[in-house]
Amino acid sequence: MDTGFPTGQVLADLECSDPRLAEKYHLLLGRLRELGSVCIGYSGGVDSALLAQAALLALGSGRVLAVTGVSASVPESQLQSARDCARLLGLPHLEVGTDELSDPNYAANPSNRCYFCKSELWSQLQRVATERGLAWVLDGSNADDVREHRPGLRAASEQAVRAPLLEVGLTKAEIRTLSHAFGLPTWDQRAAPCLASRLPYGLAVTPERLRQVEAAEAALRALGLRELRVRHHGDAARLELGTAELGRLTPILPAVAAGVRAAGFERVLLDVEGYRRGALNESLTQLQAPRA
Amino acid sequence: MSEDPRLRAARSMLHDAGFPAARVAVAGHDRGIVVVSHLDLASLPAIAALAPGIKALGFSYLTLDITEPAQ
Repeated sequence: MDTGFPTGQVLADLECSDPRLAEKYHLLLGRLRELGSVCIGYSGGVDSALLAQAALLALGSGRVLAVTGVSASVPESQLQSARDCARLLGLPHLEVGTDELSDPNYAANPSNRCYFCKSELWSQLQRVATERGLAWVLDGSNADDVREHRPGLRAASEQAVRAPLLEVGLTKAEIRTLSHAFGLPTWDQRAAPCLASRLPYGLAVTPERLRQVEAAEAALRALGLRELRVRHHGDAARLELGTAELGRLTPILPAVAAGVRAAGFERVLLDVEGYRRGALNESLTQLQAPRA
Repeated sequence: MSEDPRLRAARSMLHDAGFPAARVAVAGHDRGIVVVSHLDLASLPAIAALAPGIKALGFSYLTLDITEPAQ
């Protein structure tokens, strides 16, 4: 790998500046060497990019394959950034189609929707790993993920998928620090969950709804907004914008509304509390409560 | 059909906070979104301060309708 940062020097510097973090990274390299050969579930995000970098360092490119699941729930912009990062890392990279949308359990959008999506993803990766003679399938989950609502973790566990970042106790903040030290472009990347995460639980996931969300978010990004989510509520789009975005909204407000309407929404609603991670989980309690 | 008493309470909270012109409706497939209209963007911080109280009435989200903002 050549990202312009000599790995040995980076590690030497890290051992001086943050010996505990350096130890975790060495543990990670050791764990990966033990695994022998790996097929990584790779989104091109912060976690899977660092996992891929470490796997390349520990095993060499001949024993590493990064696989990205492609479906309507993955925005094209995210796919492109995964391809770009793989190219930069010199990472063998494969895209495989996943068909979670044809699973009625997934399409019904229950609160454990991610379980059905990840089941499909991991079964595809297990197939690829078997075909290519790779010993293990890896997930980029980290030590913080187990503290959140992550039904997808169960799917990984059921299919014997390993999560080395989690196993050595690396947190998201530590992964960002390591990524920065190694010069990975992903070090400050924002969280980019799949497009289905923009639909409230109970509202069916369809290709058309996913397309609407992708188009509306692309329109807002074209206006210079960065920290945002377009939440799909049927005929209404609920916009969650970051604090900085809210501060510069006034002059572009008509263009914001027009861009979201052009994506097929009849109503454009601005969430007064702004962007926050996992906002759709806020409705879980109500959804599960008996209706009057 | 009588009005949802939660909406009446939400409207009352907005009026008491100094927004007598605000109109309030409900949206979303599970009717969990309060939609406030007839207010401009400048009122956003004050409306946001009311979010915990209005959501406590049994809603998930409090929003400002910007579908057709004033030019």
